[in-house]
Amino acid sequence: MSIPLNYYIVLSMILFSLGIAGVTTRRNPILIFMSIELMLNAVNLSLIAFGRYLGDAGGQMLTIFVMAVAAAEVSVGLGILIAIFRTKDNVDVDVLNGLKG
Amino acid sequence: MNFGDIHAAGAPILMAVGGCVVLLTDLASKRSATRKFGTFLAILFCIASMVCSYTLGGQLRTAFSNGIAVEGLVVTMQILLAAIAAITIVASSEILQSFHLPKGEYRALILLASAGAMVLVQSLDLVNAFVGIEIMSVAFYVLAGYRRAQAASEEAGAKYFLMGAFVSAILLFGIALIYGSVGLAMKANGLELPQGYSFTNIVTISKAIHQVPGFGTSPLFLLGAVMLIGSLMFKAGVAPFHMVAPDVYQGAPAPIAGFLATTSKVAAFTILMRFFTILAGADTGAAINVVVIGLALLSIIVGNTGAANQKSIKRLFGYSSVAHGGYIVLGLLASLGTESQAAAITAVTFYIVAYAITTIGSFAVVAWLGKDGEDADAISAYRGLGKRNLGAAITLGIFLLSLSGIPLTVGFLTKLGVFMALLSAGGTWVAVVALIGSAIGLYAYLRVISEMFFVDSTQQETSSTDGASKLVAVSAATLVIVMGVFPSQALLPSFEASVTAPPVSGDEVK
Repeated sequence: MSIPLNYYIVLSMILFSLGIAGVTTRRNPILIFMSIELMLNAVNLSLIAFGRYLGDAGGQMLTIFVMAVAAAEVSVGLGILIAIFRTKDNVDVDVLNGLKG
Repeated sequence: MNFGDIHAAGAPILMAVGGCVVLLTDLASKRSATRKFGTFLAILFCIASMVCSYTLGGQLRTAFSNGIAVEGLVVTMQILLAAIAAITIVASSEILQSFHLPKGEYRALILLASAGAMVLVQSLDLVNAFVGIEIMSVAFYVLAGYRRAQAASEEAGAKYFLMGAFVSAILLFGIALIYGSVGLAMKANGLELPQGYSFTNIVTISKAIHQVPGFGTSPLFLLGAVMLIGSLMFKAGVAPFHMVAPDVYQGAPAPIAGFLATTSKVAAFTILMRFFTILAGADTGAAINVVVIGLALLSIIVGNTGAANQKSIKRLFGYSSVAHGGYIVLGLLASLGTESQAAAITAVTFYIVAYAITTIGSFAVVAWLGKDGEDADAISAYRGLGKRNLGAAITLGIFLLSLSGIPLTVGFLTKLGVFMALLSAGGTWVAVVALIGSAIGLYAYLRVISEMFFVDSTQQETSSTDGASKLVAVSAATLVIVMGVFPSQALLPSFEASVTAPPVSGDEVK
């Protein structure tokens, strides 16, 4: 007996919502970024579930693209955050308040 | 895969190869020797890319298992993107020198971002669109934070990165939901997947929308479509996802800000235009219309009121880009009606091209007037500019008038085109609200003009040495006037011709 598709989609939506909640409430950019990774993995789960259910390889293919792109984003993002850490000694998003008007 | 496929994808391939070549050349040779040569090499690849796009002509052709489609509109946009990249590289060579920033990486990033934007405009499959948007965005994050030593630029990069990655996840969830809903609907209704197309292909989605009854209003698809449209709107800097745009444009060096503002809009709105052509005439309930009207009007109001009373001119242009995003979305709204579709697509294309020219020019003026390695960012620095540097004041004045939509500039014609399309689609009250927004925007732009010409100042003469920015600014101002005074002679016919290529519809796959 296999698990119905709906279970995967509901789980994926719950994970995605948790990720959104993390992005909106956390102050530390690293934790924000971890929440974004959670959102991406929620998407991966739903893509694989849909792909498996439809008997289509497209979902799995897109998942591999997502993983590759996420890795590229991490490398660029951490670089930017380290650059800030060098000048400010603190990377909380609260200190990113120089630009306003 | 064959030569035809490679040719069809030639423009982004050339830009990507160019990015790698420029980077490696820079690495292999002595810094001082490569300055002119690296610029020359980068421009060469931009021109090769333009030629490659141009030779594709206006007819529709698909390649790479229908993953990409090239027609007149795509060719126009790819040539525009390559031109923006070339102009940015030329305009920023002197400003990078005075900021003591590395140039090789900069040129490579501009080329790679443009390659991503080109992949995005020609993609027919949402998977390609996702890859294109990420290639573009990752390069954008680095460019926004390119002036590492300056806190504002760093902050702009970090904000852009965190918001951009967040929105990319939402975009992906939208694609996943569309993928699943299309697949499930076709399976449930016994429809075959069109030969050679995938479930994420726009043609397949179009088939599902037009052939499966009730699909357009199914919650799974609508949620996916709204997420997709919303996140592409963020990439184009439309309210309420605009929070980052003014910050990024203020924080980034002026030529980079101009590049970010134009390339992102060209790419995101072109793929949105293609997505909207399959929604046209489909029964999607009121949801998508309501979302699009809401985004457009919110951007116009927020952008124009935000631009009023700004102290920073780059921030003013940032808010202005939000407002102009709103007008372009109004054009997209008109393209949802089957009768007004052709006029709306022409209007939107023309708007995007004109906006790109005006914005590149405006930021070039900011770089031109900069001194001591700083952009002329504060609006108070423009007080009495008409007496000190009449040429710069007139050039900036032309851009400001065009942005506010005064006749005899191209900004008037583009706004007119969008409003005409909107009226023929029956959106009278929407047009009225948008006009009120424009009136507010007029105040913001005229305030700067009055500062320049009608306020005396004791500031010292600014003697700028940035010849490249000056050249870009003056030629863009000339284009704005020429396109505004002689629209039919200048560029309009080629636009009309280029968009007569049929939009991709569900019919051709039967």
